Amino acid sequence: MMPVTVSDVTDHIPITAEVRHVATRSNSAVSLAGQVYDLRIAGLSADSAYTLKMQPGDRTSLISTITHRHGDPLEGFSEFQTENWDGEGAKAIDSETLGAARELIEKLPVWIAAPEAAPAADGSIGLEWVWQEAGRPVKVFIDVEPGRKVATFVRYSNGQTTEAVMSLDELETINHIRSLLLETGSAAIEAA
Amino acid sequence: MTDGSGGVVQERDTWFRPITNSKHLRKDGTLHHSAIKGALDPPPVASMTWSFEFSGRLLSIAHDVVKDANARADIQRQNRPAMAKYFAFHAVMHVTAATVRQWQRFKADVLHHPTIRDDAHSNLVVYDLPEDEKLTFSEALIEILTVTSAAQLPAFEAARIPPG
Repeated sequence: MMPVTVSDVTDHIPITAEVRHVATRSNSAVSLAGQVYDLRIAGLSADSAYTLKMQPGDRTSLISTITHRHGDPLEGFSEFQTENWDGEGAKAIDSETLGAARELIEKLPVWIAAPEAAPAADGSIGLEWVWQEAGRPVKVFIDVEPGRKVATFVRYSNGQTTEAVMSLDELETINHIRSLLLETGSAAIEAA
Repeated sequence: MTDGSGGVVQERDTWFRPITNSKHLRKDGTLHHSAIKGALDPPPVASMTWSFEFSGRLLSIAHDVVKDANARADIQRQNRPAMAKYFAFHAVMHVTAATVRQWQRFKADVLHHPTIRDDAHSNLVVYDLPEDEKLTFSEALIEILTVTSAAQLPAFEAARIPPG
């Protein structure tokens, strides 16, 4: 099946989306900023050619059709569940921490790009979203630490930074993280 | 040096740390903050005046950069065969002592702390850093660190100066 290329110009940065037909329950898949999402588009059959015509400001309508994020940023992390996994005394990433990181990612809106995840020697899992806004870096770091503790760091495009520590068991935590990712300028599909 | 406070490091000397876990490099080749934050340790002796230290090596003394990094990766692969795919000598992160000392955002230094295992062992130390600002420090440190891939190591090693 021939891929269909979609150009989506947002208020921030241009995005090129490649719509691909896939044999899933969804109509098709779309690749934005290197990440693949499932789309469900009314009236689109699985084997038909289709062109999405996106206009500036149309991102919302595209987001509303995204139903599934492909890929698991925590793939392979179960292998860090042993002490000294780095040969230099690293603490194990325990199952609670791994579960908490997975829970956090799953509770984020599906159209938010998957983070780049990495294990840390202190037993935490670091999640990162980094992108450019008007040529300046915007960064969101979220560390899931033992005991379901969550540390967040944000660098805004104006250079301001904030850091906070909270618990994943607090109801506000997920909302706070969602807000961080949204207010920093659509970490969503522009990320990576 | 015997009191643990650390030997003086020349301004032009380079502190570096091999990166042997592929997950500590982002897809674009830049450093992931977990490579730093998780390795910030409090000083082993409580009387030391810095808050955290980041273990590395001094280029002026380390003439075995590749051998040492490969040995670290070998140990990691041998200890955890199931994770072998992650461990290899991928790159080094590095910065000069002068850059660390002139850093405006944090009071930091590079100190020579040789160990029985490694004459070149050195710590990048940071003073007055609260526990709840480790992510801020890690992000700031990423900004002054350079990452050089293992394939580009000759250029990195060309910056070696004679030991002080």
